[in-house]
Amino acid sequence: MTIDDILASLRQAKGDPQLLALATVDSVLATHRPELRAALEAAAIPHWFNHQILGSLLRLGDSEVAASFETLTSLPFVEQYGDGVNFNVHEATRLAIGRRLESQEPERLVKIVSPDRRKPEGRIP
Amino acid sequence: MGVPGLRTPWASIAKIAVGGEHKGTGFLIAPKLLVTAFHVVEGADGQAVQVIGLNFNPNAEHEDGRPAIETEATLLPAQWSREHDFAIFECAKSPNAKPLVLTERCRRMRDFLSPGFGGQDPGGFSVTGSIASLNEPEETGGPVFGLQLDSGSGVLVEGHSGAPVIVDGRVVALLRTAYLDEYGGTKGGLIRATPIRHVVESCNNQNPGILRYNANIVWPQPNLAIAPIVADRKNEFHEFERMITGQSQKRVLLVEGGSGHGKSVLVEEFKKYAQRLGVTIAIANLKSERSIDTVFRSFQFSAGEDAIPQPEDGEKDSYYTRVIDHLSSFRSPFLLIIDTWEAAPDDLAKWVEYQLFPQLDRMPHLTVMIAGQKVPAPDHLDAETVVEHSRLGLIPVVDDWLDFCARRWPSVPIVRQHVEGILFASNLQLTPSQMYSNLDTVQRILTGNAASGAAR
Repeated sequence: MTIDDILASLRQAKGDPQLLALATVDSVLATHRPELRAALEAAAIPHWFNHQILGSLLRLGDSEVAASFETLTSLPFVEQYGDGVNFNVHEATRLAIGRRLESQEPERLVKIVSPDRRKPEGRIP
Repeated sequence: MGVPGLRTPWASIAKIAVGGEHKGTGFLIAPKLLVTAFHVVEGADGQAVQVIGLNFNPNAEHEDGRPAIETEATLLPAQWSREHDFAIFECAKSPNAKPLVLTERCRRMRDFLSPGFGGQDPGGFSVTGSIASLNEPEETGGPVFGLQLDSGSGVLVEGHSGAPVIVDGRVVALLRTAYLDEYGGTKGGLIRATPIRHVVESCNNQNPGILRYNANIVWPQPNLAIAPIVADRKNEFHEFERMITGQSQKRVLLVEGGSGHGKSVLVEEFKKYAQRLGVTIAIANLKSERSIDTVFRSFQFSAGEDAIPQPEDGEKDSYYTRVIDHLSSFRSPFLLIIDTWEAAPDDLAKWVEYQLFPQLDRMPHLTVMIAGQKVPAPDHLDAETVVEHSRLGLIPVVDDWLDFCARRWPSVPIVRQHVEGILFASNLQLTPSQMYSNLDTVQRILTGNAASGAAR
């Protein structure tokens, strides 16, 4: 990822608000490890998330999700929700990611929101 | 009327002589600063005289035999206004008296007391009456307050000009003009007074911080060294800082803007600034606090029980009224913040609009900041003078972002070319939040903190 890549990505959006939001997300993600994309897309589904919710959405155990959770919550478009344990993806970013999943990868969206059968009932908030 | 039990503050009120002749009244607004009406000190050439004589009589207040204090006072450069009819002088010798407390808040029909040295009793006497109008037209420097004297006609008030108009122990205005009959007595008891806010605002424009409202509150000093790190938003910060340091009559900052326009960042940064200045803060974000009970718990958690009391067992609606009573007795600068107002439950919205806003003048130490995609309608406030309504837009100015980058990442060489590139590649359409995200990516690349091979 170079600064020229960022500019090219923004230019392609041609001023469209949703495409600008996605171009920004892609540039940010491009400077992180690839696994973070799945974590962000999962976190963008609910209105807010915490360590446990993210683990459930990604079907990962507590220790496996820890690194992604820490990086995710340091992203510029992820903010604290309430008391410091919970977080949310900023509204405009969350909606743009949701719309892209819905239109381009609906099957992945379904997979993310489907209950995790490995977990006991009621575990997913 | 004065506050019951309080003496008339004669020690802080001076009889003014110009060229040895009694001309009017003045009062202390800072330890060595005295204000009077401009026309009291206007010389034959139409300019304010440079030096006046003052006579303070502390014994009239303390009744302990203290001697009178006489001193000269010199006109402060640029601290006078013919338009608003006031002039400020610096005493050569300190009168050792407390400055009177100034307030910008005043309602119609409130009783007032005005001690001065009018011809009725040049040794000093007080006129009393009520505030008849807050919005009286005046040829210059209007609007002014219209006062109605209890004593009606015939009071000799010449020499009373410049006297303080005191409501509940605080100065709201200074006497300006009276309708007089052919004997020099009041006609119908009608008097006009210059709102003290004209004096405070005018002086602070020349010399920020020289005068404060409600000086009995210990206001913090502004400290630009710890100013918030936000892009642009200079007007919002300027007004906010004036509010929490007691320099503005404005009490409510409404910050309205769409998603991604930086409202919550502004709230967070302003909160941090106020916290560093020592202001007590109660804050709730309605994004996560959805009922009035949880909002008040959040206020209490952030500000502490000294500021926001706990509800008593079984106490319901009366609790929210009691919070206002409690806040009214709090005497330190206090900041109440509500973020994400568009999610406000009805009962909270009613509390803010129908209870908190109309009673702001009971809480001179309180500043309210409300942010959201919507903000409350300030119908129950004197919106023009009390409310600062800011509508956040995009930030398309390169220098604003360059300044931000230099402060946010001082050791990272983000240059004009980077900022211009991002702004123009997006057709200037990035929200501030997106702009920040892209600049954060640039700084990660420039500092070598970007992971490689992650492109989609």
